Formats: sequence, C-alpha cells, structure tokens
Amino acid sequence: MAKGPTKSMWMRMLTIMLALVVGTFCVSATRLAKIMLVDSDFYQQKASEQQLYDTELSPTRGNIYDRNMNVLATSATVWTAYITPNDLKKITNQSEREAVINLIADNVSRILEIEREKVIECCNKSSAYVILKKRVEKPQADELRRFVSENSLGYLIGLDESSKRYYPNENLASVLLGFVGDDNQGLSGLEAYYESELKGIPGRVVAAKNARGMDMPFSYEKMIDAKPGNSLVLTIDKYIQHVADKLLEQAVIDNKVAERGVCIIMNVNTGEILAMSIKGDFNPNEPFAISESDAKLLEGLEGDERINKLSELRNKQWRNKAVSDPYEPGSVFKVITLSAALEEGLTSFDKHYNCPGYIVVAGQRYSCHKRTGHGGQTLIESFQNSCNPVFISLGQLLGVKTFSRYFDAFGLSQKTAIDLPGEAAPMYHKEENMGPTELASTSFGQTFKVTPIQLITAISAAVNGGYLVQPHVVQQIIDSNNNIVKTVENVRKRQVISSETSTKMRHLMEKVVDGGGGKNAYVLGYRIGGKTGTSQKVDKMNQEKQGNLYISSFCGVAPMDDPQIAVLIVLDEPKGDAYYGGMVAAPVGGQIFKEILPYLGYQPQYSEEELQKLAIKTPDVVGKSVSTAENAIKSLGLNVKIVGKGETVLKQNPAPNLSIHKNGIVVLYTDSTEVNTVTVPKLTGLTIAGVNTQAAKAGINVEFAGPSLTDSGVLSYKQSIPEGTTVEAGTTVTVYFRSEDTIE
Amino acid sequence: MDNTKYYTGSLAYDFDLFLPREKKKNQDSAKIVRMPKANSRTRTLAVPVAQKVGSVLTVAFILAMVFMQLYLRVQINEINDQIHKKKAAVEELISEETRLQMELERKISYKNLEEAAEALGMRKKERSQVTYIRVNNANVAECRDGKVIYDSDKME
Repeated sequence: MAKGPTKSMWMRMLTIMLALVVGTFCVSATRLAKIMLVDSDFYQQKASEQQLYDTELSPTRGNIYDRNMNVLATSATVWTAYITPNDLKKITNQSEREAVINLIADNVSRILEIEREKVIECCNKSSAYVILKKRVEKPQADELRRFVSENSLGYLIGLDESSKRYYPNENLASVLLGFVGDDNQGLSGLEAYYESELKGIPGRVVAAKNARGMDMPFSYEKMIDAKPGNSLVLTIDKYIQHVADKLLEQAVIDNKVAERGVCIIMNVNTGEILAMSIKGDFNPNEPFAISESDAKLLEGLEGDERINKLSELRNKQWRNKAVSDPYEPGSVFKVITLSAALEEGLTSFDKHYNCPGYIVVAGQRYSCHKRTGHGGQTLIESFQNSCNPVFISLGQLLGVKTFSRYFDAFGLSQKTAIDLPGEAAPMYHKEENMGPTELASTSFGQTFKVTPIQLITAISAAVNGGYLVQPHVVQQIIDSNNNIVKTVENVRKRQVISSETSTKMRHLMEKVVDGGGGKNAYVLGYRIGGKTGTSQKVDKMNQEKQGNLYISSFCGVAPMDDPQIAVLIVLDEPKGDAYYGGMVAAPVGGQIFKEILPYLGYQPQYSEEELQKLAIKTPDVVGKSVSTAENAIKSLGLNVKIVGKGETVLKQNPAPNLSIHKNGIVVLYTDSTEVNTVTVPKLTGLTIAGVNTQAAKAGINVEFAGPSLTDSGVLSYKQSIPEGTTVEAGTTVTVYFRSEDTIE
Repeated sequence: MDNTKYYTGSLAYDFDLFLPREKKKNQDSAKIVRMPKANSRTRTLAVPVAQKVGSVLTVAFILAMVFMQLYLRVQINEINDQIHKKKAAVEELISEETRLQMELERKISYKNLEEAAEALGMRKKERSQVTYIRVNNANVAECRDGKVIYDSDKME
C-alpha cells in the first residue's frame, strides 16, 4: 500500500493546477485586454458618469437694440414649476393624500394662475415629473417657494431654472424681430436669421462627486465658462417704427384690410431700414396666441381641421410680408418704366401724349383706369394721371431687351439679399419669354410680382442719384462688453440711371404729390414726392372665383431736394369705402412723413401761400380781465365764448399756444373752472366749409389734416373724436381730408 | 547604471536571492560577553517615560493635524457653498433687474405714453412753443425747482 501520492501523481496534480492557473490567467488577461483596449471608451464613460458630474452652462442670449441702443429684446432668468406625482402616491393614506392634493391645487393654482383642475390632473398622473407651468417669473417663484417651505412640500414641488426672452415693446416690429422657442432657439425673424450670433457658446462644469453625488470642490473640477451671445444693433429707429406701426394699424382697421398691411421706411442713400411694420402681427412675448379676429375663424372647427387652421393662422401672423410675399406693384412700378425711358432719351418733360382711354397691343386691348381717356397731356401730366396707355407706349419704345435690362439693373429679377429669413424670389417674364403683350402689362406694373423690399429698393435707386443700394436691418454686431465685433457697411451695388435722370424723376414724383394721384400724401411745409398704385389680384380672383380684389400702395420720398427717406405702404385687399392707392395708402404715407420728418431734424419750410393758411396760435389770456382777453382773441380773427359772469379769466380752452384755425372758438371761464360740455357733431363727408360750419354750431374747434390746405376739392373722411361724444366746449377735433380722385 | 539599488528597492520580489551569497563568518562564541541583566524595575523607569510622552504627543499631533485638515475641508466646503449661493443670488437679482427694467420699458412705451397723454388731453409740443435761449459763458439759469442749468446745456 502506497504511503502517499507518487511523484507522477504530484506531477499530474501540478500540471492540472498549472493548467488551471494559466487558463484562469489567460481568461482574465483576455477579459482585461478587452476592457482596457477594446471597450475602454465605454468603461471610461461609465467611470466618468459614476465619479464625475458634467453640467452644461447655458449662455446668455444676446440682446437686440435699435439704432439708439434702446432694448428691443433681452433675456432674463425664469423658472419651470414642476410636481413629482409618483412621490405623492407614496402617501398610502387615501384621505391624507386627498388633503395634500387639495392643498396643492388651491395654492398652486392661485400662485401660478392656472386652473385648479389642471393642477389636480397633474397630481394624479403616473409620472416622476410633470410640468405645472413654464416661464414662472420671480414674484410667483418666490411665493411658490414660500408655500412649499411652509408646508414642507419640497419633495413634491420644485422649480427648475430656465430663461425667458423679453420683448418690452410688445408688438413693435414683432414680425421683424421674430421670437424664440422653449429651448431659447430663434424660430423666426432676426432671432432665427442671426441665431448663430445671438445664441452664444454653452459652457461646462466637470467635477468629481462624492458617494452622495455632491460635488467635491477644488478636487478634479474643471469649468469652461459659457460665452454670452453677441448682440445686434439694428438700423431700426424705435420711434419711427412706432409711428409706422401705429399709423399702419389704423389704416388696416379703417380700410378693413383683409390680407394685412406692410410699411417699410428706408434710407434711400444707405439702404438702412428705419422701420419695417407688418399688420396683423403678434406679440412676441406670446407668439402662439392669435388675434381675436383670427380666433373667430376657428369657431366651429374641430379635430385636425382646427389644428390645421390654427397652424395656418399662426404661420400667417409670423410671416414677414415685406420680404416673403411678392405682389403685383401696379402703378408704383411706373417709376421704373419712366426712369428707363428718360435714361434712354425716349421721352422728355415737353413730350405730349394722347390717351383715348385704351391702347391695343398685338390685338390685345388695354384700358386706362379712366375709361373716357385723359386726352392730350404732357409727360408730367401722364405721370400725375398714372395713365396706362402712355406707359404701355413707353414700354413698347424701350423694347423687350432694353426693358428687361433695366428690370434686371433695378434689382427686380433677383432677391435683394436683405439680412432677413424667407426672402421670396420675384416672379416675372424673362426676356426670352416676353412678348409684346407681356411687355405691355409689365410696363404699368401688372402680370409680374416683386416683394415690397425689392420695390422700395428700386424706387430708392430712381431718386438717390441712380444707385442701387443693399437694404439691411443690422448695422453692428457687438459682444457682451459692447465691443464691436462686426460693422455692416453700406453697399452701393451699381449705378442704374444717371444722376440727371434721377433728378428728373424726383421732380416728376414731387408733381404727383403736389397735384396728381398722390396729393393725399401732401404735408404742409415739406417737399414730398411719390407714386400711388392700385393693382388687381387677378390670380386670386380667378382661382377663388371672387369679385374684384385689390392691393393699394403708395411709395413716397422726402425731402425731394435731397432725398433721404422712402416710405412704402402696401394694403392688401382693402374692403372699406375706397380701394385706390391714392385714397387709402397715400394719406398714411403723408401722416408718416408729418411725424417723422421733424423727428429726423427736417423743419418745415413754408411758402407765402402756405403761411397764410397756417393755423393761428391761441393767445394766453388766463388771469387777464375779460375785456382785455376778448380783444386779444378777436384781434386774431377768432371767436370768443364766455362762460360765467366773473371779471377775470380763470381758464381757457384751447389752452395757450395751441394751433387753432381762423374763425375758431376760444372758451373763457370766468366764474369757475367747471367745464361747459358740448356734443361732437358728424364731421365726415363734408367740405372744409361744411366742417367749419358744423364745428362753429357745436362750439368746438377743428384741426385739419391731409391735403386740405392745398386743394379745395377734398372731403373729410375721418374725425379724431367720434360723433356724439360729449366734450368740453372749445375742444379741438382733428378732421382728416382727402382728395376723392380715383387715380390708380 | 547601478541596478542593484533598484532591485533592493523593490518590495514585490526578494532580489537578494539572485545576488552572490557572502560566506558566513565563524562566530566565536567564546568572544561573546553577555551583559549582566539589568534590574527590571530600573529598565521600566528609565526608558519608557520619555518614549511614552513622545509617542502620545506624536499621536496627538497627528490626530490634531488630521482633524484640522478635516475641519479645514469642512470650512472650505461651507464657504464654497456660500459663494455658490451668493453668486446664484446675484445672478437672480441681475435677472430680476432685467425683468423689472423690461416691465418699466413696457409701461413707458411710446404707445402707452401717447395713450396716457391723449387721455389727459395733452398734445405734442409745437415748434412755436419752443424758445431757445443763448447765454454767455458762465451764465446760468435757475429753474423754479432749484435746478441749475449751465450754459453748456440746451435750455428750452
């Protein structure tokens, strides 16, 4: 019997053990090699996730300023309020849970101004995180924190920090500025176009964390600061934009404009856009809200139909009609045809034309808007009358090749490359496809489409010495320390017409406002030029089998001795009393010039005739004896009404130094300053004399607006204080007059 | 290069096994002189007192340093936390200032001002109501409210 393992047994055992050890080692080595060499990235990532925390630091979005550094858009911190319903379910006692839900619903709905039912619905969801309200501002957030703290609800309700974009001027230039989404990303307008400049570069914090997940400061912490976005300094002037917004909105309401209105104000020499207004627009602080009139269109719609209509209405209010919607410019385009004809020497001021009311081209009859014809007329009169046959003739004289060359040169065959998103390309007859009839219709502004920004740029070239400029809305990009990162240079692309031709065009355009179709844009003391336009929306009329639909427009320039500012008004489908550009768009242009020219430093220069028609200033007679006051007022050609039996004037209306027309009335209060009231009469549809008579009868004063001082053939169409309103005796009511000439 | 130092410095392997062995010298037991055993009482009193005190002080010092380090770490963490909180508060206040500024801008927008002015029966000033006064150097104008306007300012 063996005393123990033999040597061979030992050897076998050792061999087996060695094989086991080597095998185990090989497996471990292979596994280790795979982990270290093949899957190293994966495990490194897992280790980093376990041992480090990585937080992205959101950069502050850049601001948007107007040209005078007024803030148009900025960002600030807000919070997202949330609830964790799954934690609520951990309360097993039913009545206790109900009590907590009611407590939350009552207070959270009050603090966050949301419906109580919505809060209860959020509480009953099976989710770890439900948003109660986004963009909660500090006062509400502080109140919510207090409520949570007082009731020890920190495990249920919380606030996550986020950012909100503020547009302090609300609708001002809203379509131009655009808006941002929930993730602070620009979704339309300048916010989208300059997203890369505005958004900034996110920063990061990478740091080690301890077993509890808390950070370990000073050990293994690396921080890369977020780089704030750059800010934009626009060419827009906040005041001019306000004037454009205000007057365009009023025009859209007054003229029942169905398809929105556009107003662009541009520096003709530099291409800087001073204002770009689109109505109806939206409030960028609540970009998804729609107007009341649009909301009515959703009534009765349900399901997908409602969703689609809502989406259509939202897209419409965000759309920049000034750059995205080409339209037929109508007679405003005659400025381009005439510039080309003058430059080519095909016509001159002393040329005479005859308009029988129509013209036949290649068997196609084209009517003038005045069916009976304008008869014999000079070139200036043809332009004032906006005579279609004359301009068709000029087009024929130019010929397809030359006409197309000028069409190109004025930049109407391509996009302007303005720094705004969604610029549409024009739709026009190319030279190779243009026959005599296409040339005829194009010559007076029909059967092709350009965008408003293209048209105002082309008109600017016609009056600024002949230079086609690059329109733009951003003049500088600055960093967060206000250092200039980029300056946008004013660019002259080319000279289209000579300086001499441009001078002639200025003269002709001034004649249109002085006595032609644009006379409703006349402003006392200023030299204004312009051209009106009324085009039919033939494509839509045919497509939708509708009656006549029009686009009314006016493009004005001032001051005509040294043009600086161009204003383009486009009213799409006016459905009020009138639709002619001269009647609905030109008055808006005039009002805009009246407000912005003094602001820009252009003081009125009155002619002798104008000075005689100027309003008188009311004298200051407060504190004087009644007889002295009466004499002072009467000596100025004004009437006096004395209220009371006192001997001294205690109050007067209108107040001292205000404009008042001859034969106006000044009410003097002598006993007490208690006002004497009267009722405002109907002052529309009347001549100047008629308005004066009605005002005198009622004991009120009137101020005339529009071309009333230069043209006797005008009628009042609007009054600043509605008929039937009770006002203080002597109150001044502004009455708006316009010429009723139906010139396109 | 002297690799020996390297080998001897390694803890993982006993490199002495690979070094040449020195022959053991024959120890002459006769030459060994044994010292008489010291009195155990004397040995206990003479050596350990200083050692014990030293050891205690060393341990106390080490513990103090460890606790001081811990305390400092806690202090740094607390201050760091306070800095974070203050920074967050400053950012929140700056943000709140922006919000309030925007609220103010909204309230005094041209639109709101015009509407308020119209409601009060006010009108825009006319050119004829403005009078510019040219004054010589060193001249000043004093307003009713006590405000002094110097000649460099435009006076209306």
